Amino acid sequence: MLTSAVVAALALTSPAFRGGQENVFGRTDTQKEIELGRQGYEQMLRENYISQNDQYVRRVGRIFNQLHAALPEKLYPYQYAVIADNDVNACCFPGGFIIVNEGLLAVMPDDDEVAFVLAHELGHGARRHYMREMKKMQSVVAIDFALSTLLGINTGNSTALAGISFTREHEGEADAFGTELYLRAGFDPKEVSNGIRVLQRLDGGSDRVPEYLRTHPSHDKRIAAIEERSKTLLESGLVPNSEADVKLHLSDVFGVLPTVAPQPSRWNPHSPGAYWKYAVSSPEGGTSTYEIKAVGVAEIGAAAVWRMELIMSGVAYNYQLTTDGDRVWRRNTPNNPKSQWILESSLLPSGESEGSGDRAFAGMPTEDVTTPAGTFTQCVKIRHQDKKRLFTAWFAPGIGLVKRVNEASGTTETLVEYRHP
Amino acid sequence: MKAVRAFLFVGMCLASTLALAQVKKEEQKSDADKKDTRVEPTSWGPAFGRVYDTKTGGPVAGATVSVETETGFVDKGRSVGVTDAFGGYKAEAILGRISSNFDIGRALLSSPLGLLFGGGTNTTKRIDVAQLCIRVTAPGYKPFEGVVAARNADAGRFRLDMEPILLVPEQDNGISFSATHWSAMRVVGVTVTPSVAKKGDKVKIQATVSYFGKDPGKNVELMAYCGYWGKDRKMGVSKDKPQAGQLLFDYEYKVSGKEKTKAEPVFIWISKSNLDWTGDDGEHDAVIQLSFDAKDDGNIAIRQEGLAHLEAKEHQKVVQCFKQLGSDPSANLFDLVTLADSAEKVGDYSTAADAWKRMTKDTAYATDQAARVMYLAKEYASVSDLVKPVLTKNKEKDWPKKVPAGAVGYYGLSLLKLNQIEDASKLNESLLNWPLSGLEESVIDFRGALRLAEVEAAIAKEPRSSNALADYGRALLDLGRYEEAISKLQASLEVNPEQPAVKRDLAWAALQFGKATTVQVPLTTAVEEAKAQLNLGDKKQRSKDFFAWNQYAVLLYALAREKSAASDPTAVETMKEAIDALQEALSLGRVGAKSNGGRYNYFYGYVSGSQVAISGFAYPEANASFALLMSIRRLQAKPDDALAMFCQAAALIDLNQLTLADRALQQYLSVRPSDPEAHFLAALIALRVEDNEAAKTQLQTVIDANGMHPRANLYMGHILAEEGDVAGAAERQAAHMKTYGRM
Repeated sequence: MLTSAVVAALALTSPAFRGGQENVFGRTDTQKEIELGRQGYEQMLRENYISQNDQYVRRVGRIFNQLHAALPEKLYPYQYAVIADNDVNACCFPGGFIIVNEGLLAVMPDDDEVAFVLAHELGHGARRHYMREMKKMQSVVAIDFALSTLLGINTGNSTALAGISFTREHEGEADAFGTELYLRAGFDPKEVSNGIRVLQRLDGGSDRVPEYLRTHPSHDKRIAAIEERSKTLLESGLVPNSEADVKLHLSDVFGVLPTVAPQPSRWNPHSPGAYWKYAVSSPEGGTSTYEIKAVGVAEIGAAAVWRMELIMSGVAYNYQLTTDGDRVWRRNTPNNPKSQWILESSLLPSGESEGSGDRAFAGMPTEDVTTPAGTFTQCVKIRHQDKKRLFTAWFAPGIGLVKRVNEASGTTETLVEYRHP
Repeated sequence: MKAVRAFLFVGMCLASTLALAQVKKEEQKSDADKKDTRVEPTSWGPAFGRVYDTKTGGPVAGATVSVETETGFVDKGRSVGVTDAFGGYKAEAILGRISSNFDIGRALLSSPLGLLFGGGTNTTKRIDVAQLCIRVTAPGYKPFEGVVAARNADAGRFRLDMEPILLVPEQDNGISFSATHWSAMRVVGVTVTPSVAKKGDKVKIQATVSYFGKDPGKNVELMAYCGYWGKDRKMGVSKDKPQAGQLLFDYEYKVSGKEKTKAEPVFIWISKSNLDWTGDDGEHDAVIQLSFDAKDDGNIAIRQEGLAHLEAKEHQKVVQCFKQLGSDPSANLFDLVTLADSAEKVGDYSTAADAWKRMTKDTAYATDQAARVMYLAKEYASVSDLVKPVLTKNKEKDWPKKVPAGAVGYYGLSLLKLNQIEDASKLNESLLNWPLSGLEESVIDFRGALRLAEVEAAIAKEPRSSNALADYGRALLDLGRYEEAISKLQASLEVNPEQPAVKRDLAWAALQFGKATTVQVPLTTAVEEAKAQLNLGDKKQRSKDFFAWNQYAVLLYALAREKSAASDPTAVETMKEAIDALQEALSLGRVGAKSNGGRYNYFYGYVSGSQVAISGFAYPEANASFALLMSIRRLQAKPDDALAMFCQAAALIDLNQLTLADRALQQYLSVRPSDPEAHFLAALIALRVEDNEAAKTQLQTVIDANGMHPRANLYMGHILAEEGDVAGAAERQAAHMKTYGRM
C-alpha cells in the first residue's frame, strides 16, 4: 500500500497528470492563464471558420470596446473573435479571450442583449473562473486518484458533479460582475435581463433540464438575481462611465457640399446595393480589375449623398458622391475633414464643354459601346482633362461608366459586370 | 531482484548525468548572462535564402552573404555563406533561444534506455527575429546591404527562410535590393491534347514553367487536379524538349468512358522548387473535353468556339454558343455552368436562372445559384416558389440536406422585398439549422437587411423613440453607412441625452470622419496614465496585458528620448525603465507554442524529449517592439550602426511614434542619402500624417531609383485610388504585376 501511495504521489507530479500543460495546476500566475487561454482561443479559431460577416464583427467590436472601457482592472490582453457557427453561444477562455458565435448575434438584434452576454463572459475572465475551477478539480482529481489507488474505489462521478457545482457558482458570480459592467458601460438598465430572456425563449420558455444538472442556474432565477443586483447597484449610486458630448456638424461629415440643385443622376444610378466591376488593361500587357459599390445614401434636405466603396487589390476605399442629374461630384477620404468635393464627371451634350485647365469636360456625339458586360447603345461620350492626362469616357443611360481610355498611356477600363437592385 | 534494482539505479544515475550534461551543453551555447533571456535571442541558427540577378532573374552563384552580428559584418565565420549554383546560401545568425531542462516527472515515466535518448528532457525552441541585416557582395554586381525579411520562421527546426535578394549588374542602373514576394519560377501555360478525347484515349496535360537562369533540373514538382481523377496528382518531367528558360511537365489521363461529365477544368500549381516560388501564384487551368458519340463531336466545335469567345471575354457570343449546347435536354454540366455564368455577366438573368434550374437535380449548388440569379432578376416570388415548398415538405432537421443555406438566404432577402418581415424573422432563426449558413454571402446580406427592416419598422411605429432611433443608428453603423448612422444617433440623443452607450457609438462614428474626442495630454501625464493601467503596487494583481505594458514601454521610450534631447540627466534612468518595460511587454506577447510531447513506448517509457516550439509573437505590435528593443541594444553597443538606425525608424513607424521615427530616419539618411528604402519609410511617415503629396514625391523617388521595388508601386496605387484616380492606380498595379506576377 505504501508503494502504491508513493507511486500515486509521484504520478501526480508527472506531466501525464498535468493535462499536458506545464505548471497549470502548480502555479496561479496570470501569465500562465494567458498562455493557456491563448492556446485554447487559437485552437478554437483554427477549428472553426472565422466570421465573414462584417456587420457582426463591427457590432461585437463596438459593444466589446464599450465594455472593455468600463472594466475596473485590465489584467489581461482582452481579445475577441466572431466565428461562423450557428450555436447560440459565447465563451471566454482564461486570460480574457472571448469567442462569440454568429448564432448568438442572429437571435439578439438588440445591442443590450449582446452587451449583457459579453459582460457575463468578461466576468468569467476577470474573476479567473477557469483557473479557480482547475485548481479545485486538481484537488478532486488528486483525492479521486489516491482513493482509487489505495482503496480500489471508482470515484469518477464525484469529479463530474463537483465540476458542475463549481460552474454554477461561477455562473452566478459572472452574472453579478456582468450586471455591474453592463451598467457601468452605460447600457440601458431597463433591458439588463433581456439577453437571458432571449435564451429562455429559445429554450421553449421553460427550464426543461432539471436544475441540479444544469451548468447555469434556471433562467427565472438568473433574471430575478440580475434585476435585483441592477436595482441595488443603481440605488447605491452607480454612475455609468461618462462620455464627452460629440459635437458633429454637417460639414464635419459631408464637407462643404457643392452649391447645386441635387437630383439623381440620369446616367449614373447609385442606389444602395448597386455594383460595377471593371477590367483594366495596359498596352504593356498589365491587367487588373476593380469594383465599385454603392453602400448607402444620406438624405440632407433636398440633397442625397451616397457612400461609395472602391475595392482595388483587396483594399476598400470609401468616398462620398452626389449628383445634380448630369454632373457627379466626388469627395475622397471622408475621414479627412479637409477633403473637398471635386467634379468627377459632367455628361454634356455633344459640342458643349465645362471647366478649364486641369479639369475640363467636353461632350462628344453619342456612340454604341460593347464590353464584356454587353452592348450599350447611345452612350454619352465625353473627353475629360484631369491634370495632365486626357481621358475619353462613355456612359450608358441607367448603367453608368462603361468604358474609359487614357489617351496618353492607352490604359483602358471596361465594364465587365454590373448589378442595380 | 537486488541485481535488477542495482541495474536500474545505476542506469538512472547515468542517464540523469547524461541528460544534465546535455542541458549544460545547450546553456553553454547561449550567451545568457548578459541578456534578459525571456525575450532576447541568444542561440544561433541557420538562415536560408537565395540571390538573383535583376537583369536576367537568374541565380547568382559565388556571392558572399554575411549576416550582421553584434560586432557588425564579418568576412568569415558561421555568419557568412557563399551562394551555390542556384543562388542558395546558408548563414548563421542569432535567431532566438534554445533551452532544455531535465524533467523528473518524465524521467520517472521513462527507462534508463529511454533516458539515454533524451526521454527525460524538455526543450524549448523560440524564434524571436523576423528580419536580418544582410550584406551581399558578388564580382560584377553592385553590393547589397540592408534589411531582409524572413519569408518563414520554423521554430521546430530552428531556422529562417529569407525573402530573395536581387543584385544589379555593375554596368546597369539601379540598386540591389530585397524583393519581398518575388518568385523566380512561375507556371506560364497549360495545354491539353487531344483537345477532345474519346473513350480509351490518353489525354496529355502539359504545363510550362518558366525559370530564370540555370536549369533547376529535377528539383521542381508540379501538381495537377481535375474532377476526373479527383485528387492532387504529381506531374512528371516531360520527354518533350522545352524552350530555353522553360521546363515542361506532363500528366496523362486515360479516358475510361465512365466519366459523368464531358468537360472538366484541370488546375496546375508548383508544390516544390529549388528556386523561389510562391504557392499562390502561377496557378493555371485548362479544360479537358470528352466525346463519346457523333452528337458530341458536333457539339465540340460549338464548345470550342464558345471557349474562344470566353477567352476573349466576349460573353454575349459565349451565351449564343452555349445556348445551342444547352438546348440539348441531356446537356453537359460544364456547358450549363458556362452558359449561366456568361448569361449573368451580360445581365441575361432569365437564361442564367433557367440553366441553373436544370442543374438542381445534379447538384445542390445549382439551387443556390438559381435562387441567386432569380433574386438578381427581381423575381422574388419565384425564389419563394423554389425554396418554400422544400422547407414546408421536409422536417426541420432535414432542411440542410434538402436545400443549401445560400438559397435560403436569397429566400429571406426575397421575403423582405415582398415586405413579409415577420416571416423573414422566423426564417432567420430557422437558418440556425444550417451549421455554417453564416458563411453564405446571401445569408450575411439577409441578416443585415433583416436587422435594418426591423429597426425601420420600429421607427415607423414610434418615430420619436430614443431606443428605436439608437437601434436604427447602430444597425447603420454596423453596415458601414456612417453618414446615415450619425443622423439617427444624434436624433436619439436629442430625445434622450442620458444614453452614455449611444454617445460612445456616436463618438466611434465621429472617428470615421477624423473627429477624435480624445484630448492630447503631456507625455509625462500619458506615461503616468499608462502606468496606472499596469495595476502595480503592493497586494495588487499586476497586469499581464501585453497592450498595457507595450503602451507604457513605448511612451517611456519617447519620454527618455525627449529628456535626452533636453540634456536631462534622468534620461538614462528613464531609458532603462523603458527597456525593462519593453522586456516585460515582449514576455507577455509570445505566440502560442506548438508542443510535441515526445515519443512514448510501453516498455521503455519516454524515448525522446518533449519539445515546445515558439515562432515569433502573438501581436504585430510585439514584432515592432522587439525590433525597437534590438535596435536600442545595437545602438548602445555601436552608436554609428546605420542599419540599426534604419530598423529603429521602421519599428517606430509601426509603433506610431512618427516624430521619433523621422528623427531616426534623418540620422540614417545623413549616412546613406540615396537609399530608396529610406525614402520608402519617409513615404510611410508622410502617409501616416496624411500628407499624400509628400508621400507621392517620396514614392516616386523610390520608383525612379528602383522600378522593381516590392511595395512602392502598390502604395502609390493605393494613394491614387484613395484620391479617386482609378486609372492611375490601375497603371501602378499593372507595373507591380509586371515584376511580381501577382498583387
